[in-house]
Amino acid sequence: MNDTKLLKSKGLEQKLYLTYHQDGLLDLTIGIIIALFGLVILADQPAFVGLIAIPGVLYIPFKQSISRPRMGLIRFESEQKQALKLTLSMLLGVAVLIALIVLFTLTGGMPENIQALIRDNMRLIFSGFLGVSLLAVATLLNNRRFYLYAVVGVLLVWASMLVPFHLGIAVMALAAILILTGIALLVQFIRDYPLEDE
Amino acid sequence: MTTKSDFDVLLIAGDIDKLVHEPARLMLLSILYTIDSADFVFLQKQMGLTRGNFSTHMSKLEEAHYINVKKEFVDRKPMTVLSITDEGRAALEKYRGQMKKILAALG
Repeated sequence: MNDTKLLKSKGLEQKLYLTYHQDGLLDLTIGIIIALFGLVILADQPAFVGLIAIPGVLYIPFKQSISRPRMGLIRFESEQKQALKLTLSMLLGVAVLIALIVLFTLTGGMPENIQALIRDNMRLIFSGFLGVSLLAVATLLNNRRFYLYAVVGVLLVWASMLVPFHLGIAVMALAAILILTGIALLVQFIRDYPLEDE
Repeated sequence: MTTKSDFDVLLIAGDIDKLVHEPARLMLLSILYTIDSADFVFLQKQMGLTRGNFSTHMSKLEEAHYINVKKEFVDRKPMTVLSITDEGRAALEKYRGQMKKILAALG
């Protein structure tokens, strides 16, 4: 396959990506991942962080069983590249969440001034990680809604500093936004793309 | 106002590839140009054509070697997958260049 493209077709490419993601499954999957992370924070149970990756594993099977029979198949790049991007995105997200858990639970071994810095800016650091993760998903998987989620996520965490309220609630609120958006999109998608007899 | 040299440019219109110029085929080639590949169902639904109509356009582009049409098994289901060829890519790029000149000559 010749990868040279003389024509700039970014606008059309964006529209096709939007179409590809209109089933809301990515929003649902990542919303559930964020909700699980929120539960880990609220319950103060870092041991359960391993559960967070489970929804990510289910994304492709759901895409294949729900979306593909209705919408058909589109490959934006070679399957290997696509699979690599998706795996990288999921691994990045999980790695970031685990890094956060490690950072906030193992600060005891660090110098006092570093501990104080982390303690005083914990939510700010967390908002940075959250924003960057969601921006990475937006860029890697070409889904513009995730730029908005990144902004909303950061604002919710900052709100939890200013009001104040528990960080877990801010995370759960973000998760609820993603999940509800995902469900709404999925319902609309199923209406727009009914299953046809072969 | 159209000058004589503009008029000469407008003569390019006679040289336009009618295979590419047809709206449905132009849409199909444009989509395939942007991506790696897509199946019959996706393209037909996105273009809003009937199956028969889409098949006709697909066949014409395939005969001209502008697209590849392959039967694949994806998740154990048969699919008709389309992709653009190098000739198709070149034809679309040439068409765009010609249309740009024509529209520029019109002012």
